[in-house]
Amino acid sequence: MSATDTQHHSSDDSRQVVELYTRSEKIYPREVQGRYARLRAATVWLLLGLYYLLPWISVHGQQLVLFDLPARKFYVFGMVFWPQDFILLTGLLLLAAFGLFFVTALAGRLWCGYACPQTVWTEVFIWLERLAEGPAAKRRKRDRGPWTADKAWRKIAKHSLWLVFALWTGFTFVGFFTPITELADKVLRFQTSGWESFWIVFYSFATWGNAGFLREQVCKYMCPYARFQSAMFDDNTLIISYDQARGEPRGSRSRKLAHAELADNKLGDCIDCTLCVQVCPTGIDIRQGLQYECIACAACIDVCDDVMRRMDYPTGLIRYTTQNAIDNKPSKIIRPRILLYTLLLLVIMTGWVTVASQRAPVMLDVMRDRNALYRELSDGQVENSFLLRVMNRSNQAQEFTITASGLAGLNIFGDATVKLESGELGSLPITLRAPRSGIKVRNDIVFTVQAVSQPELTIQETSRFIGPR
Amino acid sequence: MTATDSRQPSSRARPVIQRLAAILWPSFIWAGVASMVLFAFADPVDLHAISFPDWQLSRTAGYSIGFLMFWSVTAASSFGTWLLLRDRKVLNQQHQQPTDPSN
Repeated sequence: MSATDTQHHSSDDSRQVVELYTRSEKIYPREVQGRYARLRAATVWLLLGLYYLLPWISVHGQQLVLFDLPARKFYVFGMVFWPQDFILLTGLLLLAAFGLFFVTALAGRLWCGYACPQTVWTEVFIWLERLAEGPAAKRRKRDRGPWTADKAWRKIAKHSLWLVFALWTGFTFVGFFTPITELADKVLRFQTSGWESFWIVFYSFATWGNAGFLREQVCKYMCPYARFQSAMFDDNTLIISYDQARGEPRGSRSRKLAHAELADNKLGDCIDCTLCVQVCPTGIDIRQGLQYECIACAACIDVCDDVMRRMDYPTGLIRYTTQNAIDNKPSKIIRPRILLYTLLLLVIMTGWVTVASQRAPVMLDVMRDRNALYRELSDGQVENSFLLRVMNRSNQAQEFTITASGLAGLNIFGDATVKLESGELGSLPITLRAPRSGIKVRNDIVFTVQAVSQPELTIQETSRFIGPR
Repeated sequence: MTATDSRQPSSRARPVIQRLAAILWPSFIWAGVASMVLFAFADPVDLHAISFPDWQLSRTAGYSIGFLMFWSVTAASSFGTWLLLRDRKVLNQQHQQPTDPSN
């Protein structure tokens, strides 16, 4: 060997050693079929279906789920929330957190395996990748090989698919915060505002990066839940586990001798085919025991069950089980931890429903006309235009009158009554006029909406009357 | 030990993407929480009126600027934590001369 050869060799060696620690090896999870794979596909369709379709559903002209940030109103399935209802949002977040703790204590990382957006979008990105580049083994081989026309167009096809899907995702995301039909209209005419464009691109980029590239690294290095979920675990929690007692000593064997070897007690049921490792999206070996990287996707169960059936062994060498069951102890579902979480969930739920149901039976939302701040009239008055949205949350039809106060000589020009069915949301353009004298640049005014037949049904909201400088 | 080794990062160093993620992602979450709390109580339009009323800023711009300001602060804090938590071996390696004294 020449000197250059040796040098080359040693630097190669050291790079390999360093890479082992610093660069995570790209994982090509092998395709898997089985009941848990089907279950995940079903949840992907359900959850992403909800995500992409929900913003398009409108009832009475009102988007069903809209966190309307520009108007500071949050529409959720016919209920309207305001920034003042912050306590309810906090309650919902607490419910979500304790719900997650409860499910984790009971059934382990079901969230990670089936419902986490990271899992769900990664799944779709892998489907798209497979569509363009074929199965995992082919992808790995092609990635390691030289660049060819075939490789190039497949990569282009994959990234085009990813890009379209990511942009659609980003657009939908913004559509939850600003009315989606208006947004779609603006997108089609390339007239989205700077910030709308920014957030569409930002969320698309995040989707593309997280689901296309980072994948399992998000779970391993970025996810806080992965770091603390073990605190909810106990010996009765549902986990995915390899049955060591049944599987070991592992070893390959011919199918003819499958049962003979077992009878001799030479080998356990694990044929050491390593398929469970090949299908693992986080690249771990489940046979080494429970690891924090395991997102409980059950791909190893599906693939191992398939192998067991082909070997004519009983399935379930890798299975959903509990530590107690593995240790031949009885598993308990009801235990102090579960009772505590249940109690907390019930308390928060009751509190939430109580607070939510005691909100005002009339809703009023005042928006200033966005086109003109004010208009000076020839008769010396100043005019401001508003759009009032009144929602009748009482359980019968009502007629409401609208009044405005807070400024000398303030009067409503035009009709100031509105009839609304129960649950109906009405939009009412209101024009206010006041004499020029005595008007400051900003004047706080109060709108009052009152039901004619039930005067106790009343609500007020402050707004601003703008005058000339 | 070869000269190549001393220039390599320590085996304890994480790849750039993981470091970036560990700094940007938790700060993103907390910036989101902080924005939610702030804007539940303060309307960006009011903040606009008391800060830079001469600028043309929509509510959406207000929310976005508020969030990005929070994110830059939380990310700066995460970055500081990362700086302080770096392993002494990594720091010492950076100050080492190209020729390793052990050679």
